Amino acid sequence: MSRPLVALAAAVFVLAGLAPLAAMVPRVESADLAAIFAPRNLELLGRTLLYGASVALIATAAGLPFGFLVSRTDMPFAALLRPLGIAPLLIPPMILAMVWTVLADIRGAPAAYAVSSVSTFPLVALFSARAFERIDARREEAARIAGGWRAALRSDLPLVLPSVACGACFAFVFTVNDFSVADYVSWLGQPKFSVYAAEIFANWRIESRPGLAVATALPLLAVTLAALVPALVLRRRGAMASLSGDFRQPEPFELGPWRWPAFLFCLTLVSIGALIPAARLVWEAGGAARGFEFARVGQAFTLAIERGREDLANSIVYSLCAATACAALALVLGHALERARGGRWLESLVVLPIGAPAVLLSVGVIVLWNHDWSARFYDEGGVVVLLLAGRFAAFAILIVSAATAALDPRLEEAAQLAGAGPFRTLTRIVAPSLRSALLGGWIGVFVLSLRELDATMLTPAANRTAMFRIFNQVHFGRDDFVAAMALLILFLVVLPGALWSLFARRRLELLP
Amino acid sequence: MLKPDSFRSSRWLAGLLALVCGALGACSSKGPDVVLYCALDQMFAETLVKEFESKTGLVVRAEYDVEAAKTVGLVKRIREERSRPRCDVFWNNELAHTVALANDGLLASYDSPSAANIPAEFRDPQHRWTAFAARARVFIVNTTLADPAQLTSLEDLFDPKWRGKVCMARPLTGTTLTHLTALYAAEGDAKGDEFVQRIEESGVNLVQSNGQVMRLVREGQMAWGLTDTDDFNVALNGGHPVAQVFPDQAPGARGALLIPNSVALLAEAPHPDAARKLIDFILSREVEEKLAFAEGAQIPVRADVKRPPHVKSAADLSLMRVDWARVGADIERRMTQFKERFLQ
Amino acid sequence: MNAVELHDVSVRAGERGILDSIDLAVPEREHLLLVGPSGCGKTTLLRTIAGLVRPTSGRLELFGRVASEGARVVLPPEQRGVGMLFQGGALWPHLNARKQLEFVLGCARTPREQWSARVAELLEWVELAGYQERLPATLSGGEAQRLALARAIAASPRLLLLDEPLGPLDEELRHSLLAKLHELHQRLGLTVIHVTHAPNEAREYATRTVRMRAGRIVAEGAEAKERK
Repeated sequence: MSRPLVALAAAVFVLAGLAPLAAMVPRVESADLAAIFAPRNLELLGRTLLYGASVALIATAAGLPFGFLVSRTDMPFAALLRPLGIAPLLIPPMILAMVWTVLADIRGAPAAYAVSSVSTFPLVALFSARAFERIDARREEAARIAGGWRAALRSDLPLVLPSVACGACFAFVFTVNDFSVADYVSWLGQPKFSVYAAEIFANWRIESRPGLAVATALPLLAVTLAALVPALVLRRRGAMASLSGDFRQPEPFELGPWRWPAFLFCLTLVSIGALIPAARLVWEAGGAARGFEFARVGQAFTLAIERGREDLANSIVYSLCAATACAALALVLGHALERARGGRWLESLVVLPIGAPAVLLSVGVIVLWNHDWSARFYDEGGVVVLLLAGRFAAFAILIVSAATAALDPRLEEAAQLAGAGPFRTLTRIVAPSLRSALLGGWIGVFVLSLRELDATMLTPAANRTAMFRIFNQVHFGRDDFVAAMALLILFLVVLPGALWSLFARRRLELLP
Repeated sequence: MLKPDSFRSSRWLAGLLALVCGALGACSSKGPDVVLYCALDQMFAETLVKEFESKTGLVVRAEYDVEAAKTVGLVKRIREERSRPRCDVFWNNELAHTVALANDGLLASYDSPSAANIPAEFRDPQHRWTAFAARARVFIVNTTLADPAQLTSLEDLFDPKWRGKVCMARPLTGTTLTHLTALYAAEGDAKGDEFVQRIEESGVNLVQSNGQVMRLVREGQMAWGLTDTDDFNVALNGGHPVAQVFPDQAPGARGALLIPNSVALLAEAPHPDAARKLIDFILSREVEEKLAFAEGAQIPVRADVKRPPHVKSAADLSLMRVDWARVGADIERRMTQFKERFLQ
Repeated sequence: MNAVELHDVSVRAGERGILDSIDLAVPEREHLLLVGPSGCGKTTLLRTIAGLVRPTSGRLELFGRVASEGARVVLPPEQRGVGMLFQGGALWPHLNARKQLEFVLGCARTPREQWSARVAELLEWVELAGYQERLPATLSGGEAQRLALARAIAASPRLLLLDEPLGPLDEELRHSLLAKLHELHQRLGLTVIHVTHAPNEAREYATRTVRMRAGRIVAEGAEAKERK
């Protein structure tokens, strides 16, 4: 490890991700802290925790079999369904909520549970699929000799459970921090279904008590971290479960008569989460109730590209820069976290910007950067890149640190003995060995940055991005334009992953 | 430690840094002549901004708001940027938060010549803000499910006959919050409390936004609801079977609530001269006329501004009397009150 | 002069002692065999000499220079003039045979114009001529291990550390690699410290055997010195 390089990267990360959060803390007064313990607040918090835990359970019930079926069985079209299974995660949950409340007669709490589960099951599926793939063939064969496929599955489950639990923890975190779904579907039906994140958002608007929102955000932040820390530990256990040097790939399970029912199960999940919402967007772009015409779809796209071209270009540039910056940070910090003593404890610090409410980061950026000396920076794109990089660097860092854990340290020692300095070892030996993790982190940050709205809502330059334009137009009811723009974003989001799976032989490492 | 020679071996990293720096550099450009914060439909506002730019040769940097920010994103920014204001002109799509900004000393006075023929009730006596082109709070009615003629007053929301079939937005944000705050200001706390109590007891469906009210009614999931005229017009233009009703128009009734756009010059605006020119333009007759003919179908506050036949004139309506200074002062308190009531 | 001298060197990980007061002197040009059951600390001793493990106490000297004193590292690994053949080879998976060697030559500041001759020489010597562009994944176990050996000596170290170099190889390959190692030892005048858990295979080439158990040196004995 190169100390100056690690120090530089850590400084950039602190500046981008932690300093805006720290800038908000002085606003909190003791009265604000007392408000946390108001009965209404605690009730909301309790309900939100129950909501998050239930969604995590449902997501596991759907995601675990999905991950198993697409990764380890002879199910038809598994190779196609597997990448499609990630799509629901990439569609903003608010769009899922809008589509499904119109298509199905669900509302209130059940709708919130359903939409959030659909939107988070891919997390569990991704983790399960990877864990199932990493079971050594010989372990399974030993079980099969003893008791057939059934026994093999029984011996596999304890090995994949840590990974699955890690995915479930992430599903919980995503769910408790989102209020757009609960907010959108909570109409009708008693009791009303409000969540804690909505309370934080409402408190932002109480100008006379600027610390209140920060204080109310603290319990959610604590809950998020409390869920992320076990996720990080479980992730390690899951990653360690297998993959020794002489790893042998396991055989696919034979489903026999269950092949097609299994296919239908997976297809249904993917349809609910991605295919039907996408189809609905196409329908809306084509004129929807006024009478659908394909010519109208074309017109909507032409308009979206004509009016949104610059915004799309900005979105792409900001996301490219943020992704590239995060990949560089991840190489240095992800590697250092794994190799340095005590690095694992610092992981929980790294995930702080993901766990904090987006608005907190957003206002923190104004407090930190809106000064005369930094005016140029604050007004222009640099601050957006900094904000996005600060918020999402953790994903790339965790992916890289997991990949570093699987990297034989002797490769680095051999370089060190040869006389290569830490910088050269990092760039010439470590980076090429971690390239699929680096690229996976890069794509992850690119995609997250492209669809991010909340954190950038208050930042001047972020005003000229595609997501911003979409949600400006949602407000003013331009449904066809919104649908076309959303489809363009979806296309951009899916593009890098699709290119990789088409042209690369190695599997992308997309998991922290 | 870093060795000098190790830099040579890391051309790719240098290239990467160059890419980031280059991209960041490409984003920066010459500064604008005037900065506009605009809570209007971006698509529509952009054409107006272009027109202003070509007329005056000034460069406008316009920044907009999003649905998720519930129209207070820009207000929040103006407050947070108070130590170094960067906005010159604030064009708000409502009035209450503009008044709140004025009350907090964040706005400067400017008596625009364009505002000369705007009725006095739409102008701040101290000229810190001027209101124009308004939306009205109306019922949107799905004509296949309800007869618009049966609806006359806000209190129809509580009629048991419609139980479970009517909706309005939760009064935590936007024009619905302004509406209830204005109701309290006009009729006093007791009547206000009673109104809120009846919302709860009669089972009015409280939804996320006015836009959602419009969507639910136009899709037939709700018979009718309380929303804004611009949302109503989106449904109308979409070819849905909807009608609008201005509530409380009977003689002696409270009248319909108009929520006008408002424009203001920021205190310590970085570009005050250009800002005044922009305000003159926004308050011009032509712009108010364009707003009336646009999809939002805004109601002109000047009786002599041209408008399409489906847009009413403010003069044709019986209007609720509103003390905007008080609404601006009360709105945060009311939000806290409603939050504790409806967010649980 | 002694190539390696350890005075009272200990390595601890938390409460657990891995090396316990090791005293050892290895004269130049010796081929020392380090044997003992697995987990006894052989590899840690080797890695301590290479500078990859920081001792908790004691003094380590290499060719008369202090390499570490107490817990303080005086010479970092790359300045110790050490080559190491790792267990399993530890070849860099993304670099082909030529680039593996060139990487080491670049670090050792060998002038660039000499690289291709040196690479060819090294590969020929380990009988891998013509394998220049092959990636490690395409090499057999014996080939990979020979390439790792070429890499270990590319920068002309004075001390060669071998960590179970014959591990997964079959009988025939073991013999040919051992012969190579011996030739190396003779021709270049290297000092070799050779860790193995199966001492018999290398005994005929070694000058001395040191036996370890539970982090301590328990026995020393001269070996087939007179073989020649």
